[in-house]
Amino acid sequence: MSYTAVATSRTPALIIYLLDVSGSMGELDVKLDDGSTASRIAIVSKCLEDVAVTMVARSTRGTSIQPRYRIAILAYASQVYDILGGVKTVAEFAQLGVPNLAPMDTTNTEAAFLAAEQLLQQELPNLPPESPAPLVLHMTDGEFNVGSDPTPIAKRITSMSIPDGNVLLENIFIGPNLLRQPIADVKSWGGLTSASELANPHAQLLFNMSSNIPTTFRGLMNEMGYRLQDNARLMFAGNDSKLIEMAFVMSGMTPVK
Amino acid sequence: MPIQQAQVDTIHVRYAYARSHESQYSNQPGQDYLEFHLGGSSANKPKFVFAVCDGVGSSFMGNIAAQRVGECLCEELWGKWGKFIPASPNFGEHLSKRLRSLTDFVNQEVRDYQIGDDLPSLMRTALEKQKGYGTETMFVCGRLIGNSLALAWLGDVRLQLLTEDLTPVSGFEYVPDTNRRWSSREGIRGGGLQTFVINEPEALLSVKHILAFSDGLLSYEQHLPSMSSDDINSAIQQLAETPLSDDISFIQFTLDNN
Repeated sequence: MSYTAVATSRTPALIIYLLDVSGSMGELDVKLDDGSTASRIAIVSKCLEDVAVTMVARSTRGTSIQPRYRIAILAYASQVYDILGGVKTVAEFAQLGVPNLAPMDTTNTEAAFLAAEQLLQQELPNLPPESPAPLVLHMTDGEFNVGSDPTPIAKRITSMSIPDGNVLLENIFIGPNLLRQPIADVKSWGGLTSASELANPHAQLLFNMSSNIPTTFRGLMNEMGYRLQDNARLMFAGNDSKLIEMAFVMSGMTPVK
Repeated sequence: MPIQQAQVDTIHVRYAYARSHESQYSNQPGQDYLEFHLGGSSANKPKFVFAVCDGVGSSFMGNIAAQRVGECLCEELWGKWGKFIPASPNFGEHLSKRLRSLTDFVNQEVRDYQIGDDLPSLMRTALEKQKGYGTETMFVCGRLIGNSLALAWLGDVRLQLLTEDLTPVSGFEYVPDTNRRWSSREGIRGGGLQTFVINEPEALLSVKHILAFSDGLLSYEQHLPSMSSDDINSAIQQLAETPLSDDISFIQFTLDNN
C-alpha cells in the first residue's frame, strides 16, 4: 500500500511549500473564529508556524530534535524566493524560525512550480528507498497573471515517484465564494471529491492537479477529529481560517516513527 | 546492554535493554523502562515481580512516565511491609487505583521540568505544548508469589505466556491496544487495565515461560521464545541499523516446574 513509509531520521519526509506572496495576499478577508478578519498572508504565516511546531513536536525525542522532516519554503510573486536557502532539516528550520512573509507584486505560478520541479529532480535520486513520498503544498489566492498555466509542470511533478508512491501535490486556494456549497463546519466536512463542487474555474484547475488524500494521512487527520472522505483530494478552497489551518495540518501528516 | 541472565532457585531470567539509534545518536535517554526483582523461595516475598514500560513518543518526555510507572508497579507488586495486592478478581482494581494516585506526583514532575532557554523558540513552543498534554506510557507487569501468578497490561507492550512446548497457555488472551495508556493527566485512559490471574497450583504448572517486550522487538515476536541469547543480541544489533530502530526492552522468565 502506498504512502505508508514512516518518516524517521534515516528516511525523513520531504515537504516543499510553494507560497504565493503576491500583492493580493494582503487582503483582509480571512474569517476568524471570533468573526473578525485577518489578512491572507497573516493567516498563512500563522498556519506555517503551527505546522512547524507540530513537525518539531513529532520529531522531538527528549530534548533533541530528530531530523524526521526536511523542508523547503519557496515564496513566489513575480519571481521565486528560496526562503530557507535550500532544503533544511526540521532542526535547522527550528533554529532559523518561521519566516516573515510580506505581500509583493504579481503571480507567476509557473515559475514556482518549475522551481519545485527542479528541487525534486535534485532530491529524489538521493532519497533512501524506504523514504516517504515527498509532498508539495502549493498555496495561492488567485490565478496566475504572469507566465503560463502551471498544469503541465504539476503533472510532471505528480508523476515523479519513489517506492512509497508518487510525489503528492496539495493545493490551497484562499478566497471567498469558491465553493458551490459553503462549509458549515470544517471538522465534519468530508473534503472535495469533484471539481464540480468548486464555483471558480481556476479552483477547478487546481483541483484537477491535486493528488488524492492518502489513506494514512486521512486516518491521522480523522483521529484528530476531522471527517475526510475516502476519495477526497488534497485540495482546499475558501477563506475560513479553520479550513486553511486544516490544509496546513495535512502537510505534516506523513506517519512518523 | 546485551542479554543478561540470572537464576534464583527455580526461576531463570534473561533480559536486555537497548536504546534506539536516534536516542544513542543524540545522547538522549531511552523511553523504555525495565525493572524486575527476584525474591527466591521465601514464602514471605514474591518469587519475582517485573515491569516493562514503553513511554509514548508523542507525549512529553515519555521516559518520565515509563520510569515512574515502572517503579510504582514494581513497588506495589513487591508489597510494602509484607502487604500485597491480592491476586484476586480485584487485582486490576487495586492496581488501577494505585496508578490513578500516581498522577499528582508525576504531574508535578512534569510541571517542574525546566525547558532550556537555549533551545530554539519553535522547539520551546513545541515542548510547552507537549508539556500541557502530559507524559504517557504503556506497560506490562507481573508478579509470581507462591502459586499465584498475576499479570496486568495497558497498551501494546507485548506479553506472552507459554507452555513447555512454546504454545500459549490455555485461557490466556493478549490483545495489544495502542489507545490504552497511562497518562500523567488522566491516569488510565483509552480503556481499562487488562489482567490475567492464576491462583491454582495445577494451572500454574502449565506455565513455563513468561515474556514481555516492547514493540522495538516486534519483528521477532513469533521467534523470541525459542531464540538463543546470542541470536537475540544479533537481532538487537541488526534492528539498531534499520530506519525504524526503536528502544528495546525484553525480559523472559522461565519456570522450573518440576
